[in-house]
Amino acid sequence: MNKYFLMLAVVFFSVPVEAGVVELTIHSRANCINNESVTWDMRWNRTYATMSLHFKNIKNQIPTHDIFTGLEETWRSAAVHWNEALPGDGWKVIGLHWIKDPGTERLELIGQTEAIDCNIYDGWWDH
Amino acid sequence: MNIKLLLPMLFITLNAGASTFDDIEKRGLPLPDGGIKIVPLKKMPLLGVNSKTLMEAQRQIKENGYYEVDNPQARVLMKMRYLEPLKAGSNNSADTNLKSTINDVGLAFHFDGIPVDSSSVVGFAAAGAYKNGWSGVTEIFTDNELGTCQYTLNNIKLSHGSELIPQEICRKDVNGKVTVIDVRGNANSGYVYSVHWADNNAMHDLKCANLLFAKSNTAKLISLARKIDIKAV
Repeated sequence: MNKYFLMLAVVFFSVPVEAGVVELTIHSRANCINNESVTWDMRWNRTYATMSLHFKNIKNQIPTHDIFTGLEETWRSAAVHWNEALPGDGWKVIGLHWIKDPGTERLELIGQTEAIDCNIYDGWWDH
Repeated sequence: MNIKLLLPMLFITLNAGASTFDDIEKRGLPLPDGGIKIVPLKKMPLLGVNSKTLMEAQRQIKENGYYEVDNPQARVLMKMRYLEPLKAGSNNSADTNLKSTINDVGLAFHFDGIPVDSSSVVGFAAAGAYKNGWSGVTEIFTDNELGTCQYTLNNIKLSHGSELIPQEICRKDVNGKVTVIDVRGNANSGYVYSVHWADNNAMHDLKCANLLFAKSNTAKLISLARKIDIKAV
């Protein structure tokens, strides 16, 4: 039963409160029911691509698998493996986040993100 | 983990036939810490580069000062001058809303703000990735001629960002650095004047939105970009 409530709590706190409100932000989360990497800007749709590399063990050098969104026009590009890991399951996630500027065709890797925990729920700002 | 250490391992995975990284590499997407690369348009990777539209836009910008197209970004940017920043002391780093002071944003690097009159600043906010602080920052401000403006800095030493820029549109307006200028909009949507520039430390974007078009605004925008660049990371 406790696990059930824990899952509900994690899902509840998984709403996109970290989304960039006035500018683009990127992040990854691990062991948060989902393992995921997200690129987002609440203001408008843009052309993004996001890749999420998932490592079964945080010491692993080779990703167990990866998820790639491909290029998509959206306000939130999310490479998500649903229900892959509960808190404490020991996964690591590395995200790669791209944007294509439709006006000039510039192709930008905004950056990379890395996570070993659920972030919001786990107080990601303290890490 | 440094992604550079990871990449050889990814190739091992890929040789095993199980990684989309191969597709990314083939398509030429920029990789972490890959620097700022200038590439001929015909060699720009993937994803339906619309070279005709791009070159037509550049032709119009050269001849008329702007590319005539409805630009919804202009409407959004123009409204940003009315945003109410959080009161000073709202320093929860997880909150990406507009803050009154730069100290409340929680940056992973030092940033003093851009060289504009403090009375014109609307606020500051997080951008990019968070790891012991944000790797990017944005500052919103107003200018009597330029309109509502936003400057964003991506510290690529921290974010590991990189980019590919089409050679045909590449300029050197901002202190000799790789620069891309774009001005687009129409009388209905308003106009966005943009300058993007980059070096080995950071990628910068300065955009201003205005209901009216004035050719002199582009020169003023570039002039401001030069001043910002001198003071930046």
